[in-house]
Amino acid sequence: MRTFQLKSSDNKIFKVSEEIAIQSAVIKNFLEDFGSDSDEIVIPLPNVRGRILEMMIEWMVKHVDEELTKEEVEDWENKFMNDLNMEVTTELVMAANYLEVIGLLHRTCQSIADHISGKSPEEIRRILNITSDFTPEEEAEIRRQNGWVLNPSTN
Amino acid sequence: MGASLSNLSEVANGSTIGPGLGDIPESCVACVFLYLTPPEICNLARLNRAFRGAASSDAVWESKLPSNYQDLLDLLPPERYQNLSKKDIYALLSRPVPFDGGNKEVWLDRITGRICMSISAKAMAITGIDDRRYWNWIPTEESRFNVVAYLQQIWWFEVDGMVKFPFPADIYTLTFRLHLGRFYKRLGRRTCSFEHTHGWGVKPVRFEMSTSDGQQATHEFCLDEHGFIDVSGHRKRGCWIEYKVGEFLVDKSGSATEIRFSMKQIDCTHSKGGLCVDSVFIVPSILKDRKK
Repeated sequence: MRTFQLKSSDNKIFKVSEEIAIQSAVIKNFLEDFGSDSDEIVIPLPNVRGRILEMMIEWMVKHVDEELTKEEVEDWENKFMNDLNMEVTTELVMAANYLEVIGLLHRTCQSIADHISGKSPEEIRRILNITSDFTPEEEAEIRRQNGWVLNPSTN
Repeated sequence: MGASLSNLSEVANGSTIGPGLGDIPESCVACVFLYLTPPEICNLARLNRAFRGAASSDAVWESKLPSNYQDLLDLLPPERYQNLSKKDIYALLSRPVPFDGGNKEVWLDRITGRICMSISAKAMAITGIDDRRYWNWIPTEESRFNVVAYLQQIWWFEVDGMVKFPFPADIYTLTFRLHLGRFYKRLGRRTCSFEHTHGWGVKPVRFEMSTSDGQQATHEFCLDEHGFIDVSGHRKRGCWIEYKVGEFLVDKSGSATEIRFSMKQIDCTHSKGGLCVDSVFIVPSILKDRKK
């Protein structure tokens, strides 16, 4: 089993086995293209910081553990997600998206959805510090376009 | 997605502040939207451009449409849905789509995208319907079909109907929507008359349904057992009541299910009357539970 080194944006090095690393479709493609047996490969990941990369690896390690049942993995995922704040969750979404770790991408997106479900756009803007990049005219147009589902009585 | 590692290393680095949700790319927002309802998605379209982009993405809306949405579109003239985005198709199908001569309607529940159906009394076989001494058609805004059948009096009370449709896999509840007494609108106020209402407390009405794959359900209800108020304190007269006939299961999408339903009170030793029959509803059971 080959092992590789993943290097985070803040220059932290993590050693991982091929079996774990190839859960990332991007790393898998990279290794196939690279085609070397060398253990010396260092894969730089300049837009993932160490703490996030460490969490991703923790996720990937759990998901190759054949001794765990499906339920045990689910319980572990739920606990893993519950311990994260929205900021870290968002960073994980972006990292999982870049490296194409599909399971983690979906689970973190689901967590964000759970968090914003039922809240108004104004609340979400405040909580997540999102500024609108629309002109007032554009915003009015968006409201108009989406009226059918927001105001059933206008049909 | 699909970035190669060489591209990754070109991305500017050094920002120590973590990203906000406002920075996440459209493809990730689309992934978040897989776990939100259509009203929530439309509501979030005005957060910023990435949210707006994802909120009109075909991939997001395709996931909200039922597997057989094409069967619903087939009921419409093609020019109504050609060149529409998946989101506009969802909006189109959230409004009632008439079929079988306009006496049946099918539509998507806005929040869940599940399929709901209503069948007008006009599409049912009603014993004695052509004899005006027994039955009359009353135009009214209180019916989604703008007309209900009003029973003045009859001995043999029987209403039968059927529908065949490729329902997607789900558990559905079938109900009859009925109203004891006749209603009027006078000077903008709704009033009810119970001058013909009689006979429903003598014996229960038998409601039945069956499906083409052998599922059956039966229920009996006394429509007027305790006069104006039933045992649980609900008004039984002067308002629309949905009587649950039963549930049926569609365990795999793709083939048409035929459903037959009826209500009968055929004890001819007494007459009954003063009842409005509007429609039958077929709605996913989970939506019925949500209403409660």
